[in-house]
Amino acid sequence: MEKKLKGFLEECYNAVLEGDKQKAEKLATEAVKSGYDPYLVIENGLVQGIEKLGERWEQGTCFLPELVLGAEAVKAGISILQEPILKSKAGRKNLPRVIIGTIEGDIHDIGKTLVATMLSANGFEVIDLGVDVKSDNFVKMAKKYEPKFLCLSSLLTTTMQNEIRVIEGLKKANLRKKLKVMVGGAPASLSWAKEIGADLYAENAISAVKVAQREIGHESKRK
Amino acid sequence: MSPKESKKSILDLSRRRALLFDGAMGTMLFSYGLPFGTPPELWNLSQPEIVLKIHKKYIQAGADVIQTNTFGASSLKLKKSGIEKKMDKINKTAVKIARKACPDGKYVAGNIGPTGEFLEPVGKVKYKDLKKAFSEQAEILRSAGIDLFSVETMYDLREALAAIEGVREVSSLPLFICMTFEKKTKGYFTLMGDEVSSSLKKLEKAGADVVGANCTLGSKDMIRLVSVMKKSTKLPLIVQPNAGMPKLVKGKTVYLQKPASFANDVLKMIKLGVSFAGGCCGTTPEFIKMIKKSLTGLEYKPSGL
Repeated sequence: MEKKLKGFLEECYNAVLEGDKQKAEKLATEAVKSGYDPYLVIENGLVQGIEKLGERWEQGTCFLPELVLGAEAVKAGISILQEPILKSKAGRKNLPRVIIGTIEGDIHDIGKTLVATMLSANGFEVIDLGVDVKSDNFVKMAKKYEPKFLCLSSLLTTTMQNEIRVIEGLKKANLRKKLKVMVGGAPASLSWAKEIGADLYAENAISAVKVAQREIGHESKRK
Repeated sequence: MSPKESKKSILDLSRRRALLFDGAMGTMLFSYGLPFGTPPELWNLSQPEIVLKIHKKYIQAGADVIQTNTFGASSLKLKKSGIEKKMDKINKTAVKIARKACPDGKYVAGNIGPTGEFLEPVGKVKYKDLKKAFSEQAEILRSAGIDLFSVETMYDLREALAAIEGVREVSSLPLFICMTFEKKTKGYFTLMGDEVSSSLKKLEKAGADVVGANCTLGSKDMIRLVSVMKKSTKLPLIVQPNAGMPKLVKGKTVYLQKPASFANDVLKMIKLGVSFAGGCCGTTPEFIKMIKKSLTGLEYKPSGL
């Protein structure tokens, strides 16, 4: 890799580590102008930064603010870098689509939003339905947008039961086999996922990304 | 009792013996059938007799302090359920119910929890918005006749400081504040990454009377935390651990720790110098009763000055 580009990617990586959204935007604009491969800038610059933060978060050496701000920086950069890609039809790469929401009766949004942000920072197209999402609405939106993943979040054990209704609804609408259902939130677990017939369970936002990437056979080109 | 006397009495009393807070309110409300997704604070209005019954059970179990059912009753938190207009009534009624359950010589704590909003730049709210929300809630609780404030489950030091400032704008009653810490490889931290020692020092400086920790950790994990807290502040300490770590059984969260083992851990913490102890998620009057029982004959040496 030419030296100049390498330095540029490093700057992108650092902008994410510093959670500097403006810097990420400035660099992304510069990348578009200089004609750098946008995928390269996303994958080898921005996303590496968020992966590093994810690693630190798992080790307990970085915390929620760094993670959220880093993810915001990645998202801002990606949205600028995507413009030229989306303009040229040939270059359009289908991003794996995710629908996410907090289950009916539950208004907790912190964890759900963090998962949405991390997925989107890692190259997924995320449709966030918000909190207290009616079971029918999950099914309706799944029909409309045909996502690869439907992510259900819950913090209350009492409302978790509504996840069963979403899965039933998907079956009735003949959508169940067309997507993977992922569950998460403090009271969820692998055994809960199995119990209700969900496909996947993620313990936290970092693991949600890993689980989704594993499912789509994401091979990291780096390292 | 005038507020001044009450301030003197509970803090003075805690120099002579350990004082007990109550256990979980939410856990109890669910066991009485609080439906899915209903804000627990609404039951102050619709099921006051159940809230009263729970307070009385904690008093009977030996709690010296009962906490009003107002954990999520700040305007910012209630707004999430679209019931912020009921804030005044919810808080006032909660104090009325607790007062009714509280005999002479025991105390009513006005309970305040986090707003659920993140401060800028992570979230959208500003420090002054948080301070305003806390000060509003504190004023209603104060004028309804509480004896002290109990601010709990703070995962962001800045929000905790906004709570102290907000409360202090309207009242000089004793102010207890608990942060909630996670156990990480490098020690105990809040969700936002605040570490124990500097957090407690800042809370002390901001005007808290008693500082400590609640929720997130079970009683076992909180013992080590007490040793760290002890070195960090001159103020008396409070702990309200969870009943162990929750397990999910058939879609329901259950706390499997037994009252006796919980009480045993709490006793260890009191021996380390904790002055106030109660329980958080999963604890019931049985837990408080068990602590009360184990306190008999304990040689008490509180930490702090």
